[in-house]
Amino acid sequence: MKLTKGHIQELYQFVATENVKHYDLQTELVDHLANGIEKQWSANAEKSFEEVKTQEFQKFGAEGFSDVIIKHDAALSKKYHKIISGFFMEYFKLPKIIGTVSSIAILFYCLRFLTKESFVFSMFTVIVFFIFIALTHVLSTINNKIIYKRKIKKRGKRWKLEDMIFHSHVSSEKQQKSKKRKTVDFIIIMIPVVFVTLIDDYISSLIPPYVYNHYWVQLAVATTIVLGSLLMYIHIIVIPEKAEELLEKTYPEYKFEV
Amino acid sequence: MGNSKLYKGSLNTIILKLLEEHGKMYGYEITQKVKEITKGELNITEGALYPALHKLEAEDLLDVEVAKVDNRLRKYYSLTEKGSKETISKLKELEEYIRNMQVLVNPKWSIE
Repeated sequence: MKLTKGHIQELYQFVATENVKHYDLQTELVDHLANGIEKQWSANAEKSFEEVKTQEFQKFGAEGFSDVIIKHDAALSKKYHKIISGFFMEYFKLPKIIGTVSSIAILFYCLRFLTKESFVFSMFTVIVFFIFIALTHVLSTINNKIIYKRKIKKRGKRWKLEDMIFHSHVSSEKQQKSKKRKTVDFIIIMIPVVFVTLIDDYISSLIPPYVYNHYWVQLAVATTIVLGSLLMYIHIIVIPEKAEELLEKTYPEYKFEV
Repeated sequence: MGNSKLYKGSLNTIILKLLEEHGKMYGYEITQKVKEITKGELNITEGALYPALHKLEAEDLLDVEVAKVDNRLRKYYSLTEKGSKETISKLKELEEYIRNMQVLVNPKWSIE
């Protein structure tokens, strides 16, 4: 006996109550349970739907779907970071590398020029840059989240990779903690840059110039600011803009369901 | 069921090999195929199969496609080009492992 549309809907509700929040994983688990139920019914059609559903679910072990959910999140997180590094690496290939290197060079020469004029002014510029990048990151992330939440409310279904793209995670508590940490990491990557700039003058007064000099510090500051901004730009602008394309590639069912 | 701990390290290789032989397969089909081939000796647990499939997919070793079958959607997995190459090296690794284990557990004694 085959399962009806009603049974399939019941299975979707069941996996959702078992903490599977994403439609991509729900679909796969619903099909798995449905196959198991149909197989049991082919041997014994007398059994009730609830009974066979419970038996098939128990095959996932005492923890239910939790291990599958955590590892599914981890696999997609890996995929997401691969997508980011793919876009990031493009800025180190022709023609984009010209822009990357020029930006670093322009910022480096600006810093050199400003330091010659006034060290405090140069320091101030770096701090303003840092605040600007941090604020843009936070505000754009919030904006992306708001837009995405509206979309979800209208549509109902969530895809894991889409959640990641719009930084709107619903996963286990353990996973959420690590995601929050990653977002903070992204901002604090710039803090050492500001710190080094602040103490640059002091260190150079202690260490001989052939060991430590402003050139290297300024080059490191310029490189970090450019690469950090680039990473942020990919996270909050490039990938969300390409979301549809990336999702259709990852989930063949995406275009039929949205 | 066989000793699952012994099979655990070879789960990826088992999946890759099955996909190499059968083209595209879906999760439930893989569990049933393994059961059928090993005459019920080896049971791939659902809790281990899906994490392995998702990991292989994230590593670009597997491709996915979705088809509508009996009122529901079914996700099929197949090998990518990278996956086919990986299957060959994984199988080689496994064969070597089996050979070494045979030597270790069943050494040939010789009296000179």
